[in-house]
Amino acid sequence: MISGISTASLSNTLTNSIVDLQKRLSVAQKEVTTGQYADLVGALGSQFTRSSTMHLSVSDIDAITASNNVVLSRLSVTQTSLQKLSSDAQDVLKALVPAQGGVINASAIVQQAKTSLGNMISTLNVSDGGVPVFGGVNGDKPPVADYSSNPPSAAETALEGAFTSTFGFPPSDPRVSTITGAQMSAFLSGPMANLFSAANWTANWSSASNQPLQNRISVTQTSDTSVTANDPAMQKLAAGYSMLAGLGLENMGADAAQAVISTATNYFSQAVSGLTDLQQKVGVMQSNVQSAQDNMATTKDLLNTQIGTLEDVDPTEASVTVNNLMTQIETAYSLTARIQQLSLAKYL
Amino acid sequence: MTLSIAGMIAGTSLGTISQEIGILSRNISNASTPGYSARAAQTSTGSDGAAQVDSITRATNPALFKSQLQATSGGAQSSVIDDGLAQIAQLLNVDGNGASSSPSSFIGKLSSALQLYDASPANTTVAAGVVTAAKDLAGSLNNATALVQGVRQNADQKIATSVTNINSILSKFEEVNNQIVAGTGKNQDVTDLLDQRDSLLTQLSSEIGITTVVRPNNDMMIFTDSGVTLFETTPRSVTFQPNPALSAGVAGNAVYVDGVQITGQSGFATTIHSGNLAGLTQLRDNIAPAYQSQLDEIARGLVSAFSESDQTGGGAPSLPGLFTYPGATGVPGASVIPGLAGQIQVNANVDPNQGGDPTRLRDGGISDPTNPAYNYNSSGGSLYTGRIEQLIASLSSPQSFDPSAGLGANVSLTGFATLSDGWLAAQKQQADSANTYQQAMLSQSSTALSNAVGVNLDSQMAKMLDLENSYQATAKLLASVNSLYTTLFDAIRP
Repeated sequence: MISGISTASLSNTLTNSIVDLQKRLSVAQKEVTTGQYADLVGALGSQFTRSSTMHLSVSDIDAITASNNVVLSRLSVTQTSLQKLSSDAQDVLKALVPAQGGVINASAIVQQAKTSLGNMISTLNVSDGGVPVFGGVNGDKPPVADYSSNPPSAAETALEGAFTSTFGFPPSDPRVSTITGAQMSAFLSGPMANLFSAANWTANWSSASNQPLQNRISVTQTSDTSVTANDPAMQKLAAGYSMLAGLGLENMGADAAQAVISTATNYFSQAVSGLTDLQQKVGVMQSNVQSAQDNMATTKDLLNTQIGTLEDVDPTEASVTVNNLMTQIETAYSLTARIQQLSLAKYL
Repeated sequence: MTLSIAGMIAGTSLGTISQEIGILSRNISNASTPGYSARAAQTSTGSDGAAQVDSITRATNPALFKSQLQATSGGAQSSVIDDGLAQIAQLLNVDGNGASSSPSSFIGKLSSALQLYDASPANTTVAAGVVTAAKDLAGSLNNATALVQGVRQNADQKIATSVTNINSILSKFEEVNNQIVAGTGKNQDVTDLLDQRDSLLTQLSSEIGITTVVRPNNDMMIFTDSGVTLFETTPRSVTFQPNPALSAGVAGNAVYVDGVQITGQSGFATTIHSGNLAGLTQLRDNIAPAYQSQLDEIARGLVSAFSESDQTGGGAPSLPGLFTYPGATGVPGASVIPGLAGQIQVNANVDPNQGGDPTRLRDGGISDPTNPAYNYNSSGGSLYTGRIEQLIASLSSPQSFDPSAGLGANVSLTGFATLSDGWLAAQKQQADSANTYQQAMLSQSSTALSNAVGVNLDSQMAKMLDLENSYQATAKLLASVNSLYTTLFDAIRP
């Protein structure tokens, strides 16, 4: 016979239901204020793996995005520097045009070549955030030492040494005027060209590594993110500048000077086209990183939307729940008060 | 002399009514005592024609009482499992900054720190930041292990308490049961004792699932829900040896009743199914160790992912790199090493606080700085990032895991850690819903039982009114008899 009700269960039911409603109200209130499930772990269950994975992906994307900004800034410095190297080389080329016609203003050319060589070295030594841009993985010092320093740089010493051993006197000697065009051509294509071979370049000129910088630019992509001072374009450029600046052009005979100028012109054109290739290469790197950034931003938005779908409660539903619960609790209060008034004892 | 008989009947009746009022007031005073069953006086017409109280009966409902015992056991079991899991699942709780203390979240932080280092490989401060992130990760695994083993040790202690409780309840039960058997034989009022015995059964059922059988003279036998005798005339001794040195990979002891093992052998006929004991055993022997083995596999996965191999092709063995553990001699193969998560630490060779050099993260040689075979940066360049990228990739590339950890044999470390999160959350969710269900069952069966056997004050009051009326009528009757006699005596007086 369960049709009866005991006084204890009547009052327990009332108090229990109020306690239960209050518990649910506190949960619903939390959900309204945070917009998320109050008990995420219990609400998601095995779906928690998805939530964890997506949170990890978002934090990975954030980290890569931050490191890509460093990479992008470095690449933009690289691009500007390459542009400057190229335009300096083109200026010198322009200045050499009249000289090819026979009108050689030797001292002006030498002066321009010296300045441009200095500019080139300081450009190659440019750094971004303490990282030498053209140094490859050797990040401890600027890749190219100053050319005309005291004591003389390895590069200058090597050039003068090669000159002296070929002609028997240094480039500063007035006897350079005795060098014939053929002798000069032979020197330029022989010992001089040899000075700018890859091996001698790293011995005398550059402490950069052949290994370019490498970075993880997206979740799956790792790519090279720098060009180094050991690129053939730089060697050509340095060769052109130093033959104009360091072989005693002022004192040379017309034939020898012509040989120097035409060889230098040749080097500069090769260097300019090499620099253009490098600029393109860096441009590709920049656009790769940029598109990785864009893709990751899209992915992150998508992930955040999915995280929201998993973890967020419907705000309207949540606030309706709070209102309903409050009404229920008020009803329960007044019911309790009235039911407890109901006792036969009061009417005896 | 029928008039005097009427007077006698009225006199007896007053006594009967007082007895009934006594029972009624007992009911009223116990209206809100849990487990109290309403009493009723059984009255009948005696040999002299007067109403008399034959016996006092208790309202009972054996079916509802049985279901309440079951619900109590089920509720106790699901609630200890839920409590234990709630403690472990704290690891997953996300704080205001969106960070949790789960290993997966620290793996994410280590990966981010490495990515930062990838952008600034020459920066020693950033390298030290990676080491800090690695230490936090190792620390989180150490803490998680301490937490899980704490839950196990706590369960072990609670099992000991529960066993003590069971023994003390059983010995009280023996006393009460003996009195009931004796009292029933002598036809005494044993209702209070029966209430007491039911209350002992309810207490017992919260510790261990039980079934009962009543024999003649109200004698009761108790069995566990798996059929092992707990009480038959005398209590059986329940024994358990707590293990204070409980740690990862060390199994806890089983509970025995009279030498019969009742916990720890899943699927075994004598293994109990419900009650505190069953829940605590499940927590200590199944749930917590399962999560521990996942933590151990994450730790082993880390040691293996960050290990260093011979770069010269000389065939030297791979050695633990950034992550290692005391007594490590090589990189362990894919099988659970119990307790590894509690021991994993960051290699001192890379930790600036222990005289190590954090740039070894970039160059290799963490395992053995004196052996050039483990040097990854052959160029020596300070901007070399190849190794850093290998380390980042090793977190997300598949590696072998022990399938006994239950999360797959070939997944990435990050994948394994997030699967472990999901496993834990799923356990918590199941425990929550099982607990909600069991508590609802318990509350329903308690209400049903209380409704069936409990006291309703209003009906008691109504009965009181009846009794009051009877008392007044009887008193009136006595007065009438008295006045009749007076009339008679006046008539015969000269």
